[in-house]
Amino acid sequence: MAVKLQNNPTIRTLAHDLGARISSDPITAIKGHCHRQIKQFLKEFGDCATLTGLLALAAQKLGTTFREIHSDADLRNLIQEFAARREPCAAFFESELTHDVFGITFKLLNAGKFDLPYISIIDCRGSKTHRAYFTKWHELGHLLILTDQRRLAFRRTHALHEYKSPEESMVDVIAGEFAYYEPIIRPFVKGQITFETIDTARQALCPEGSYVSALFGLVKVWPVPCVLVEAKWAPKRSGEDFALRAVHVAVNDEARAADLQLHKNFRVPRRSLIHRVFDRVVDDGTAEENLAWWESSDGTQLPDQELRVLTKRIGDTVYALLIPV
Amino acid sequence: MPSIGDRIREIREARTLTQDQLAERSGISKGFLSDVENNKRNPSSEYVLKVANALGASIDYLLRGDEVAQASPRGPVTIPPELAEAAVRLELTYAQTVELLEAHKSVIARRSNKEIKRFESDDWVALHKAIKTVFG
Repeated sequence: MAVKLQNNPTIRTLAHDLGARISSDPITAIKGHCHRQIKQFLKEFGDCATLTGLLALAAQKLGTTFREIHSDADLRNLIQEFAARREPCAAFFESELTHDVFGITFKLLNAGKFDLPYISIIDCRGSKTHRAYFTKWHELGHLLILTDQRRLAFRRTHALHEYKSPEESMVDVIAGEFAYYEPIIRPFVKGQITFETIDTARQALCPEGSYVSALFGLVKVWPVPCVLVEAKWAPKRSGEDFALRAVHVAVNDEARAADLQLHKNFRVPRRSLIHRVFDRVVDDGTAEENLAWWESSDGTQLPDQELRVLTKRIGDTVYALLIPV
Repeated sequence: MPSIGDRIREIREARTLTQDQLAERSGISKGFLSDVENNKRNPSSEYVLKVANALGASIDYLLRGDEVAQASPRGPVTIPPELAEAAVRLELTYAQTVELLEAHKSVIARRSNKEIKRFESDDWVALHKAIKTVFG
């Protein structure tokens, strides 16, 4: 995705609007623009040790307030509140927050002397609640790169197709940078990596972040080599040959430095604990395995590497930590 | 000269929130909030940030009374053809048409997994109707 985004004209225009040179890598330039702002916020405030605190600080500095909607009644109350403030956005809340919309940010047109200029409505109804933390960062991502509204103007009703615009993809990249912001996380990630220690860090850093997003966010910066695998029943890229596959893989820097690599969509070895947990033959646990059990689709075996494998089953998905022994 | 506590009370009352509601929304104790509003205690910066966000207010206003600079002056107005068509159908004045345009442009960002499509004349009419429904 990064390569495609890098060459996208919208992303290049955005980078240019933010002051990047035409010749520079637009994604690096845009991320750099956002990092500079966040660093400045932290420098000015000076008292921010958790991701929850960073989120609150960034929202304030970027001029928005999060309002969570947990029920239809919450939505009606919000409409009443903003209608009383004569804000036209009150007329859109219901029509905009359709089932496929997770969050939306409005500019207030009748803001008073103390009002922040924006409001970000976060839809936490039903299963959307699991995405609330990331949605907040997504909305802040838009504000971090706000130039003018040219790119959004006049294109705003709902279409039928599933599609993510280049700018939305870029904003997801930005949200991913800050939802688990390394300088804040570092002091919390130390010692052995297990599902329990990851969850302890999540509770201390941002209890509102989902368990799965924390797994991916924290494994990446944990200072020991580790590969996180999300295993699901899935086809090959071509759409056929269903099997238990590593549908998402996160390899941290330490693992990469130790030559521990695993690629997305690899078939999970039948004898691996991951497969046995998926098949409900055994419960979650720990096993000593070898990376050489894994094969690519052309039959190439991965290098010989003793591993400790820890599993965690959530619904029809098995998450596994692969740690070199 | 108004204090932080005075300004918190000012905004809380403007938002028609009780101390209980603000305490719950900001995750702080009502007793502490009451003490701050009555100038009996000095809040930490972390506390002020929580209260400011819960009130949707600027932390600079709470701390120092600095009023928020609102939107920069408008640039040239471009009425898209679909809006112009809708304005004719709805018999809107120019000022009403610009208001409708500004209302539409108040959407800054949205997180969705669906494509967004161009606003058609009927969409502008529906938007006008939605505003009329809420504001009369």
